[in-house]
Amino acid sequence: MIDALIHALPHVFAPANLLAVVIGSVAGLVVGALPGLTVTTGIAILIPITFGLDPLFALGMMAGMYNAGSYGGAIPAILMRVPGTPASVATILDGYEMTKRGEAAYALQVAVVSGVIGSALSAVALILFAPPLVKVSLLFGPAEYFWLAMLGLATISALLGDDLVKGVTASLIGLLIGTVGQDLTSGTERFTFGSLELMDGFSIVVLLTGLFALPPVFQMAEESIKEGMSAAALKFRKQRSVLREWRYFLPVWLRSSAIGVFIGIMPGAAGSMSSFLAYNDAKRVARSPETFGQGNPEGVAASEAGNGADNAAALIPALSLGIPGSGVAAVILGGLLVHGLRPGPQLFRDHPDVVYGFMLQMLLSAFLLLVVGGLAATRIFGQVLRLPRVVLAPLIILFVAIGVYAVNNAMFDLYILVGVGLVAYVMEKLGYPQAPVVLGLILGPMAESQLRLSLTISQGNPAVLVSSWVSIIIALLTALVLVTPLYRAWRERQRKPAAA
Amino acid sequence: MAVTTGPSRRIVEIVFAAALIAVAGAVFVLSADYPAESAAFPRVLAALLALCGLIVTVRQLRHGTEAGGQPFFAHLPRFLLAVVILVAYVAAIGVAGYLLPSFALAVGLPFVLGYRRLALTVPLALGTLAAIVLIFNVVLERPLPPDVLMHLWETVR
Repeated sequence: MIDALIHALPHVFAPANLLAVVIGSVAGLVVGALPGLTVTTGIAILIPITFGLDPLFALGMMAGMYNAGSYGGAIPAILMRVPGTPASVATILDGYEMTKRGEAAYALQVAVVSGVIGSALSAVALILFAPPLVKVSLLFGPAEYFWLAMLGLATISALLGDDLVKGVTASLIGLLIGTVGQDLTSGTERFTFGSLELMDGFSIVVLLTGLFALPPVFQMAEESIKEGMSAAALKFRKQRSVLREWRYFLPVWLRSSAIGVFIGIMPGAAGSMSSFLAYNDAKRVARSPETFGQGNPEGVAASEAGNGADNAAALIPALSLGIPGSGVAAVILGGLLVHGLRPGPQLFRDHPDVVYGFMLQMLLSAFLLLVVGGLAATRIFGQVLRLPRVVLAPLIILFVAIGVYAVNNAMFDLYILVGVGLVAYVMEKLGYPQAPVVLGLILGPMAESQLRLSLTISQGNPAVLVSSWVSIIIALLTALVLVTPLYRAWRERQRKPAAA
Repeated sequence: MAVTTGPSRRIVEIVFAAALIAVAGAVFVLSADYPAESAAFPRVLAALLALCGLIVTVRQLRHGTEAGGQPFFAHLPRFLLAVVILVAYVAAIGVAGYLLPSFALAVGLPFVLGYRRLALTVPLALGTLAAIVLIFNVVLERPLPPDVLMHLWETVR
């Protein structure tokens, strides 16, 4: 592993790839800071733009976007009491109170330094834990891979969103989309309706972009907000130094980062949960918990460190097993596939420079956040926040349209984009999570081919699916993941009449 | 009011679930033409999708929540306007190329949605398009959809 890391270093620090991390970080800061846009949206816009470029350049942009975007949400949360991303809701509780006291600059500093520490520790965890986890996957045969795909889909379906049925539905939509095109085993064309464009199935770039980049555009148009952030809100002077107070913040940073990393590794669990859990933990152990919610900088530190810490950690199961820890990780998984990089042992074996380079880029982008997310930078890049969202919406469409067109130079893709975007908007508003669609699309062909391979090997005997202890464990885990929310819902229903 | 808000969330829930069931049915029927090994997987998925659609429908009909009565759209006319403009934009790209329809979209969409400060939207649209041409056409050497203006651009280059 050390050799691979050393070998990847020159690629990471190549000028073009460094530039990619910087561009991704700046763009991430803006995307995260703009309410209505999320890191997932930003990465979905990036994928068609970076299609065809060197993988480390593309992944560098994604790494920068991921870390900076997750911090960017703290800017409007602290300055305007508007969460830029769902994860920054916990930051509002104390951050905005600090702004009201005239400590906006200090609150932003606490947020950025805490985000850097959380993200950096998370990247270290990624480097340390992902390669050993890959070794576990070497024990897997076709049946185990089938169950692994099912586990990934079950976790994402059950844990993203509030409704198991809608999560499973979203997975099924993705799985069905994955069946479109030529069946590689039998050569049969499935659901292509004679269209040459559909012979290879739907382009994952078009689907990712339509699913994540267009719904915010429709929402912006519908809300039609004509005011941006005021110029006065972006004028702040440097106040106290967080780095000089490191002893005060260190315990919060370490505890919150540990929570973020742990939640990040759990497949399907990462996202806004980490910042809330870290915030609650900091409040629980604080000497004066009553000051939380009234402008305690520890609250901002805990929320942002926890938020930053689940970023790279969510990629640990994604890179090693193909099971993403969060919705963003699911989209990054799609980004990897677009560049011909399939997660799992073959990724570490065939493309060590890329995978270890990407992990180092996650670490690098964490530190770069100090520069890009500092007060001066926030003042400069924050100018985008002054744009009314109704003006921003068509500009997003311009980038998305050209990015999608450029993939195959095909108008067909643009029509698919609009159709997918509309369906995704309805799904989003109805509470159907979109990440399972992506994962279904990614894992569907693998699940089908591994299932068929298992049955062929066993001459059609379905018992092959539970013939090894690894298969049994993964199958039981899958069942557990699906049954737990049902059990919780049943318990809720039992409690309600009792309470009434 | 009805024009502004459109259908309730419950109606859209049911219509969407019904659409899923219809898609599942179509997948099931179409799969009949494929060899058994190619048809099995999509057929199982279609059956499960229809089941999920049915559960959502029954849930809405039996235990409709208070939120289900809320309007689905925050502002239906603005949503429809955005959809029509987007479809027209994509169709226009096929006819007139990328640059002109994109300029019209960047300036026109905010305008029809009530934002009339052309002093901001026009330079912003031009700047964004210049950046896109620079990134895609010059730096990444990726072709833009054929455009009347691109012939001029090629001449200048």
